Amino acid sequence: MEENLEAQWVAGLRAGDSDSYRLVVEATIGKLLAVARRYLAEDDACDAVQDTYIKMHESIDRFREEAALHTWLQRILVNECLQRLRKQKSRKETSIEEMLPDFLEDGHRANLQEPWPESYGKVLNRERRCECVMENLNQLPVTYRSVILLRDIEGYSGQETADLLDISIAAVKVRLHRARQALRELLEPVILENTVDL
Amino acid sequence: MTCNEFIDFLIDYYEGNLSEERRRLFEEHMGVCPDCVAYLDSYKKTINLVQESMANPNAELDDDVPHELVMAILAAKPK
Repeated sequence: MEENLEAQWVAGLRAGDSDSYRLVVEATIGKLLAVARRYLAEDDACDAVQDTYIKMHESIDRFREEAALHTWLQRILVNECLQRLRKQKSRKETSIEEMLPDFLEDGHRANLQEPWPESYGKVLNRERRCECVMENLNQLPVTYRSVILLRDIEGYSGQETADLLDISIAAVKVRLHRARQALRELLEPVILENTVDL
Repeated sequence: MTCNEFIDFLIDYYEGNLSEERRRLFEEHMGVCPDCVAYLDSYKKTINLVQESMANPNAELDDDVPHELVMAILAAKPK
């Protein structure tokens, strides 16, 4: 969004102008829906995006132009998505412990570690690879999946992630590390089994 | 350093937050443990894979947004 144009739209939103509202929706909805789809299934993602624009309208007077409008909107959306994920948390989830590497009593590895090939980024075609990463990410418990989404995908800092999840930075670090390890474990068979033909 | 301790320090090593002494121990362990070298490598590749896969060039195309959703959002604009 161009800065001057954005300032005009924000002024329009504050004045309740329907055209400005439509232009902002049209300019931002693609990105917002793409983000929401990382957190939620289609129907919930659409609802979260819809609620984001309602909240934008309700709180536009509190928007400070220090951040870009789309950054502010994305943060509202991520909060919406996290709230919805928390509500889903009561669903039965696999424990993260089962997805972490095993060690012997003396602290050494219980299993040998097979190296991943350098062609790991070319396993499957791009679309299938993306689906596969998403499917495995979705197998992580919500508290861990959220941290990977926020830190490794959305690019929020440790402090921003801690604020969004209302946990300490230390807890963010622990969860992120465990989540990455678990996801590594889940992706490993896909990488190793699909490399032979490359 | 054991493999278990190696894993504990891995995130700090990856993010460049290990003290000099810990980094020395960490790298010493890598010198004698090819399994941990392979583990660190696959840990980094996991992060790369997630970031590369999620940067889906088709994910933000307007035709990927249901028209009904846009209409519902515009219709629901508070007065």
